[in-house]
This record gives sequence, structure tokens and C-alpha cells, in this order.
Amino acid sequence: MLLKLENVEKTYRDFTLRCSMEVAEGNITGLIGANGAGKSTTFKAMLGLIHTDGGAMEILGKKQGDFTAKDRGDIGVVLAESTFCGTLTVKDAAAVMENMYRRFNRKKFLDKCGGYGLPLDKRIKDFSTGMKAKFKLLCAMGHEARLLVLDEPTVGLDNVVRGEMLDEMRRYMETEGRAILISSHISSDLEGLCDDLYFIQNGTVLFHEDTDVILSDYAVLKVSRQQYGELDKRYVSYRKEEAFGYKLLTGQKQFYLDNYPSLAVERGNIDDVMLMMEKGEKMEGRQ
Amino acid sequence: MKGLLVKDLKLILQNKTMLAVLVMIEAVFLVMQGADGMAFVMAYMMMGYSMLALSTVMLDEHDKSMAFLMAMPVSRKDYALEKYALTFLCMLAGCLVAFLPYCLLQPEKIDEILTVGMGIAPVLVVIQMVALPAQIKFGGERGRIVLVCIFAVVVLVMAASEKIGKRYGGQPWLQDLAKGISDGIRGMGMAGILGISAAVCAACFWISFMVSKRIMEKKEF
Repeated sequence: MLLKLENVEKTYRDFTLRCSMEVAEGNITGLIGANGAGKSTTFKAMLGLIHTDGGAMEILGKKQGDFTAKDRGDIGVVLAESTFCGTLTVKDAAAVMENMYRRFNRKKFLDKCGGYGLPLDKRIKDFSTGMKAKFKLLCAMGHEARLLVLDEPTVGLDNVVRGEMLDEMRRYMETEGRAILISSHISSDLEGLCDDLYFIQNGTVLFHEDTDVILSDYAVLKVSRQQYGELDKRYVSYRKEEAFGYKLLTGQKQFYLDNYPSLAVERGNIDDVMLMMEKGEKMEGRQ
Repeated sequence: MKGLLVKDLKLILQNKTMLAVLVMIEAVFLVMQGADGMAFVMAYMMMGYSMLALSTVMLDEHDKSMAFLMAMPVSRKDYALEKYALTFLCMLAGCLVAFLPYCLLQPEKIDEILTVGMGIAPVLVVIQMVALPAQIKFGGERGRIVLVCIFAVVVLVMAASEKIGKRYGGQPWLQDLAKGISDGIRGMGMAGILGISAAVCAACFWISFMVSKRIMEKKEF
């Protein structure tokens, strides 16, 4: 396990994070949730950027107290709102990273930046949003880290470049012993990339599931009030009232396809799961 | 820490206008006042250059790059220590830039130049040792306000000392005290004065660094 959080707590005046999660070696794990759900706070807690109020963490096999600043050389980071000082250039950043990371390859990094159309001598603050996103991701991957912690790395990228960056991440994972923890608002990115997903809401992890299982077993049922009354609700986990009746989230799509062939069953995806969990009402005692 | 130092030196070298202005001011004073303006120019250059180190703290805060820096393999203690190393490097650079023209143009006055420099340096070190933790603590705009306040306090203390000196200067006990201090300093000789200055600077550095380290350790990004 490259990352393990056990009941990590952080309390602010109007928000409390209480989070447990794991990122296994060889996995790309996604963290999803609405704005303000606690994704960035979770990332900051695991990177030691904020002081936690409780819980335990294990990073790259070391307990939180034993994890030193030097060990952070094995983590590559993209933070949503922070990167190198804007007055520096890509070349300046390369010089800094060369003196920070043992395995940073300056030439390879500059070649890659050049290959993605980043001007090497232009100030970072003058980059477009997309260029900044590319730069941040290439910095995170530039020093052969074992664990990548990526907070919204694809924001601002157009579809083509986003695809290229996702491919970069997949190539990155071809080396054994690595893992990625990624958050994104773009669910299609996560569906195609992640092995498993955590859904966080109001600072608490509500849901953890393999992406394949979400895509194969989860579904949204659209039922009228009459159908709802007659439905076996054992496998309905969330309910949301609509004008036509109810939208229901289930993790047992096949059960309803087999037993209720006339129901409108929509294949589940991350957006549906998120939306139902955020806006819907939890069906107590259901799975 | 080396990586942070490289970053800050690159940030400072980008501020070419400021560096050029400092050198131009020195040139103007050199031409207009010769050796008479030496004390002012030295203080100005050492102060100006060390302010460049302080400005890197502001830049780190201003661009929200602190979180990213602290996610790199550097500790909070390293960050604080690097700012002190940078401040001393900048003061040294300022010192050299101020000294060299005077030493080259008036080599016969080199003793006087060194004496002036050694008198100014400890005062500036003390000021910087107060300013640096304040800047790390408050950063950005608030940091600038705190810096202005620190300088205002220094000016007020100097003005108050002058007033007190004028008002009570005639008092025999004060004259005796001043004479005692003056004789004591003379008695120590140059080596003694240098030793005490160095000890005061070292003590200020240590206290200041411990405060900065504590501030950094408490900070959240």
C-alpha cells in the first residue's frame, strides 16, 4: 500500500474532514466530490501542508511521524492552485528541480515541455490555463516519483491535450511499484483512467468502489410512483424524487433487468453515482 | 535547501531594474560626495540588497507557491534557514558592491572604509533579524506594513535618543556614563569590538531563526 489514511481528521470552523482511504501499488485511484467536499483538504493533509487533528497516515510504507521531507522526493504533486512562482520560467523550474530531486532528468524534462509546446523562456504567469496545467503535470512526473498526488490536473486542458496527458499518466504507470491518486471534475477522465474511486462529501468518504464495478453493476432506475410502490427495494441505495416519480441508484443492475424488464434502466456512470449521492436521499439499511 | 536557494537567486536576478537602481544610486553618491557619503552608501546598499532577500518571501506568498514548495523535499526548517542564508548572501553582495568602488578609488582610506562598514553591518543584521520573521509570519501586503512599522520604530528610537541626549546631555551623571561607555569601548580595542558585534549578531540570528522556524512549523498552506 503506497498510501493509507485512517480516520484522518481536520476541523475548521465550519468544516470537518474525517477521511479513510487507501491507494494500492499499481493502482490509479480517483477521489471525486463536489466543490468544498474535502478533496483538496485530504490532499493537503496527506502532503503535510496542514496539521491534522487526529487519525493515522502511512505514506510509501512509512508512518506519518517517520515520513521526512526528504521522503517527499518520491511524491510528485499537482496542486489545484499552486505551482512555481509565476515569474520563473520553465528553464528556471528545471534548475530548481534538478537541485531538489535525485532522479530529475533536466534534459528529458525540457524536451518533454518543448514537445508539448511550452515555451521554455516565458514566465509561467504568462502561460495560458492549459499551458499551466501541462507544466504542472510534467513537473509532477519529471522526477520518477513512486506516488503521484494530482489535484485537478486536467483543468483547463482541451480534449486533445487532455487525452495526451491521460496517456502520459498511463505510460507513467507502466513502471512497476507506482501509484496515482487523482481528483477531477471531469468524470470521463476518471472512468477511463482509474482502477477505483472514492466519493467524498462534506469531509466524509461515502463510497469506495472499483470503477469496473460502477460501470458494469451500477444503474439509475427511472420509475413512476406506482412502479416504485411495487418495486423490490433491497438493492436501491439512493432515491431522488422527480416529476415523473423517482430516480433510484442501484448497485445490482442485473437484478432489476432480470426481474423488471419494463423498467427504464440507465447504465451507471460516475456522474450519476455522484449526483444521486449528493442530491438523493439515502435508503437506510439498503446496500 | 540548495534548490530553494537556486529558486530565490533566480527570482532576485530577474529583478534587474532594482539591482540597476541600487548601483546607480551608489554611483551618484560616489560622484557627488566622494568619501563623505561612504557611510550612507554602505548602509543603503547593504540594506537594499538584503531587502531583495525579503522580497522573495513576498513572492512565495503572493503567487501561492508556498504550498507547492512545501510539497517538495524540503522541510519547513530548511525553508526558514534558506531565507537567512539568502539574507546574509545578499548583505555580503551589497557590502562588496558598496566597498569595492571606495576601495578602488580611495585605497588610502581603506581602514576608514572598513571601520564604517563594521559599524553599520551589525545594526543592519539586527534590523534584518527582526524583519525576516515578521515577513515570514505575515507575508505579502501585511508583511510590508510590518516592515514599515519596524523602520518607524528604529527611526523613533534614534530620534528619541537624540532628544534625550540634547535634554540631559549637560547632566554630569550622563556625561560620566557616556565617558565610561566610550572608554570601555576604546579599551576593548578593534578585536574586542568585533567580537562583541559578532556575538550580538550571532545571538540575534539564533533567536530570530528559532522564531522563524516556529512560525513555519505552525503555518498551514
